[in-house]
Amino acid sequence: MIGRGHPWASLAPALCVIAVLFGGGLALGLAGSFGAGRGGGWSFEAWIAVLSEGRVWRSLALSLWIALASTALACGLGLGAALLLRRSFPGQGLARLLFQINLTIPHAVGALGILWLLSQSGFLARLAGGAGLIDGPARFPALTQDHFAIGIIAHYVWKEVPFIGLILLANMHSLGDDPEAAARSHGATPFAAMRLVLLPLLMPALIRAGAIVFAFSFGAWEVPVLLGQSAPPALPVLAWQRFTDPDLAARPEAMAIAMLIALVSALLIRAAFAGRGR
Amino acid sequence: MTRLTLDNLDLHHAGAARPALSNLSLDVADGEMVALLGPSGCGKTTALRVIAGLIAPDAGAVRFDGRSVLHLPPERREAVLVFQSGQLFAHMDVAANVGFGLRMQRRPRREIADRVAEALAQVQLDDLGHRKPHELSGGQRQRVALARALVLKPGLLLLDEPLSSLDAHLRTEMRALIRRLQRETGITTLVVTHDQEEAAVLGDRVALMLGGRIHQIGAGAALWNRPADLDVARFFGGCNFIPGTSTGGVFDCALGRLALPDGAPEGQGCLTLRPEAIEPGPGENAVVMRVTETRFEGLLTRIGAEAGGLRLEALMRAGAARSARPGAETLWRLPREALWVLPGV
Repeated sequence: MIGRGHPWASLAPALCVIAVLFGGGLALGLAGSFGAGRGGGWSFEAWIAVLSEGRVWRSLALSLWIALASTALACGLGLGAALLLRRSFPGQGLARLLFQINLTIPHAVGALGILWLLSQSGFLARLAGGAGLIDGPARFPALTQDHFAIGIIAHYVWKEVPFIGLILLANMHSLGDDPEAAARSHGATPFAAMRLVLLPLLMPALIRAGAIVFAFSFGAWEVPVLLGQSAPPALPVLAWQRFTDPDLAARPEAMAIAMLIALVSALLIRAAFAGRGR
Repeated sequence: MTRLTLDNLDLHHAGAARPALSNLSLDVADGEMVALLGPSGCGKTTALRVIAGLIAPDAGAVRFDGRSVLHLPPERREAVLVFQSGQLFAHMDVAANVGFGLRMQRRPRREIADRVAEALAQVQLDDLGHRKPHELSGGQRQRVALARALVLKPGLLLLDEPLSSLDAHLRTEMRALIRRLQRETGITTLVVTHDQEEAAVLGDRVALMLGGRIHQIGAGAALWNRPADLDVARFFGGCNFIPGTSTGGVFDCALGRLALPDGAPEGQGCLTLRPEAIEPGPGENAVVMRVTETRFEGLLTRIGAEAGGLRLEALMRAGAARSARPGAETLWRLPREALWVLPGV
């Protein structure tokens, strides 16, 4: 029996909100992907159309590339930054402040900043052109709206490195110095203590933080819209395009693509946690 | 094994009001087990970390067998520190934890397996090699931490409050285990504790550390009954301090003339005796006291009494304490052999 003091009773309000907003939205989206509410009954038409469309698979591959590359780079750089920032040094407080300052900047603003910085008409292109490194700004390599989604990945890395770093710093703070000190006292060099003791202890937090970054960068559409190429677009952009298509018949396909994003994201995150468990 | 020498160690943490270590000197003989006793915050854990190489002192020297080791990193000192919380590596099983140091020494797998099994047998955890630390009890975790250190056969074993997280029953058991293993292996051991009883049971000698330095070192009973100064006496629960003058074996004070044991120092000083040493009734050094309060403390009753403007406390068994009622006069005997003069205080 669940009494007033039971944890489930305390969690119930929050769980209800999550169930209605998240679960409800997911259920409606899933129902929509099967044509529910369109008067024609339930069907697999949208799913068959989506899964047999080459463009969807190319978009899926692009989104996977963006999410995996962003997550790997953000995890690596975030870990490195956390390892540096945990040490005491003059100006450590200022360094930490500067490190986390871009967490407060909205994604759309950051993406516009990347556009201003990296595009072929942007700051770096003009700088390189002015310095005579290239014949003109137009000769600057395409780093936005490009085939390899470098601009998008750069944005996600810029935005998520502090997020990963702060989570790891908090984790290191709660672990304290003692695990590494114990390793050192038992014969480990500083590098061995970090590799064999600290990193494995940080791994659960790193995987959780990485999963959040992956899920976001795989499912977000505003940054790929601003910085990505149009053909193929990232999968969330494709879903958005179908959803806003004047032809309402495209809506079930938009829902099917959205469900595909959720399914792939959930499966990959599950696989990451399962891999860690082994 | 290793002889440990600490020479005038000083350490002041940045921003701290008082130094963590102040002129700390200590000598631990080869194969000896010394208990470093002191209250929380007196610097005893810091001292262990300096010896282990985890913290560098501001000044002074740490010597193993006469050779300075201050330039050596922790992994190259022949000292292993067992942490208060055990600090087992949560992602490794018990066998991997115990074999960690041997792995760092790049020993062959077969040898690691054999020595891990041997070490686990030493701490009576033979069958638990496959378990993860979170599957162990507090006592088992401490034993694994001990096995992880012993398997390396270090020259010096440093134990930081190894029993503080255990309940009373496990503490007694673990205390006996540590004592037995130290005798069997002969490893020079420095054990830090804030528990007087634990220090007396574990240490061949007890070093009392207060305010970052050693105030007195010797057998447990000596520190208890023959304190070097007022701080040591107070740390061990001393509460009777009588100012006066010692001349020719007699202490002249507000209570009268008290006979002193042989060899008592001469001159002005402070006489101290433990509350449990005071006996009821007449005899040598008997004084008339007026009882001011009684307090039940389990096996013993604490009785406060006054005479000549001095306040003394005695701890007596219930039978002896029965007649002591606030306001009543009582005769207390201050046994000559229990008196101790702190000169110049």
